[in-house]
Order: sequence, then structure tokens, then C-alpha cells
Amino acid sequence: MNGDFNFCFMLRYIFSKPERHDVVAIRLAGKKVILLKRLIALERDVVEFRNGALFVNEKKIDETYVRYPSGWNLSPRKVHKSHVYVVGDNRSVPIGVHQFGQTSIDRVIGAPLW
Amino acid sequence: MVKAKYSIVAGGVLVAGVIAFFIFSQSEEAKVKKQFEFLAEKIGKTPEESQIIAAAKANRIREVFTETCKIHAPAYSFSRDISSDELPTLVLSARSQCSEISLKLCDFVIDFPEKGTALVNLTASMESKLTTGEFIEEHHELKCKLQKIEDIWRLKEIEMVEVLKK
Repeated sequence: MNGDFNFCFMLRYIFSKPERHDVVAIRLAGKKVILLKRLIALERDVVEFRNGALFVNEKKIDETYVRYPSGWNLSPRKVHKSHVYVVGDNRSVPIGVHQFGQTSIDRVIGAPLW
Repeated sequence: MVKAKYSIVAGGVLVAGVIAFFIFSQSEEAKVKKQFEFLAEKIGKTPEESQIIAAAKANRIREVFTETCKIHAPAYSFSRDISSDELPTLVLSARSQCSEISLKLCDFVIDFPEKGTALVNLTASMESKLTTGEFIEEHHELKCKLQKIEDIWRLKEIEMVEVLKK
């Protein structure tokens, strides 16, 4: 994102599955433009934001990686089967502008190397 | 010896013919891509662009659309059929809010399910600077349907794929 170049490790999830808190690379139509997002919930989890705090399955999640806390509010929603829920770490922008949400696990093509 | 000479010449002519064929005959895929390049160029804007150029560009955008084009963008709660007559006004109005626009299209996947129809999946990256000075960068996956009318590929449907669904 933001026009930066990142090296992506495409084999990262060959023998393992993405886990909560991983930063993952999500493809669009191809692999030239990818989105780097934080995976916050797995399939069938229930995601919610209350005054900027993340709740997964009603349990508050400590997000040490979030630099600029937000006041986001998002009603509970269930992650569909074979989907993951991803959010960016930059929560200083309004929730309406930020690109986040659930996406098919097939779109996760790896993880950034650094 | 003479036979070998003729063979070399014939081979050379054949290779030249094949190269010329690929250079001068555009494949259907290339023709489809060319329409998208045309669209990206006409949407693009520089700070120096005059109003006359802006109007001309908005008018020419019609050339890559069918009489009616269905645009579906759930992320923006936008879904409607737009006639080619409406297009220039809409484009002009949208572009007037920006002082600079750059649209890059990549990762084309082109399929021809039947004669005269093309289905295209691509990534659109748009960077724009609003007249207020705000900088916006967006990346979207688009699914498009094109129809070949009078030997020209024209956009009939554009759908913005919801890669991330809140």
C-alpha cells in the first residue's frame, strides 16, 4: 500500500495457516498490487470494536502494534467460513475511510519479509 | 549450394513475415487492453489541464462505453445504469474535484466466453489530489464486461469487487 515496495514471502503459508496478529499480504486481481493488513480474526470468530478496542468472541484483545489508538465502533459480525478478518495498523483515520474487513483466505498470498 | 542459399532466404522471409504479423496484427487481448489504456489516459489529469482539454477528454470517454453501462460499486453504495450521454457530465464533475489524477491499470485477466464478449478482471490504482489539497490513493479490483460493437471493444458493465467486506 501507499506505493511502497515490499518483499513478500509467498511460501509463508504453504505448510501453515495464517494466525491472529500476523501481517498478511492480500492480492487484488493479481499480485502487482497487494494490501498489507493485520489478521485479527479467523473463520467463525465474531469481531467487534468498542471505542477503539478490539473484541474477538466477546474477549478484549490487546493490540500492542497499534500506534495511534482510535475511537472506532463496529457492531459484532461473524467471519464467514474460509475467510479471515483483517485491519490495518493505522487506526488514526476514520473507520469509514479505512479499508478493512473480511476476505477469502484464498486471497492471502503470503507475508511481508520486513 | 544454390539450394541452401534459397532455403536461407526463404527462412529469412518466413521469420520476417511472422514478426511483421505479430507487429501489425493486434490480438483481441491487445485491443481490449488498448481500450483500458485509452480510458486511463482520459481519466488522468495534470494541474495544467485547461477546461477545454477537460471537456474534450470527458467527451471522448464515451468512445469506450456502450450506449448504457451498468456500474456496480457496493463499497460506495452505488449501483446504476449510466447512459453514454450522461457520462461526460458525470466525468467532468468528478474530475473537477481533483487537481491531479493518475490511474494505473494492471494484472489483466482477459477471457472471451463467447464471440463479441470479453470478461476482464484487473486492478485499478488511482492516485488523486483534491482541489482542497488532500491526497487520496485507492486500489480496487474491477470486473468488467465488454462488447464488441462495430469492431470496437466497449465497456458494458463495471463491478468493483469487494475484496474486504466490513
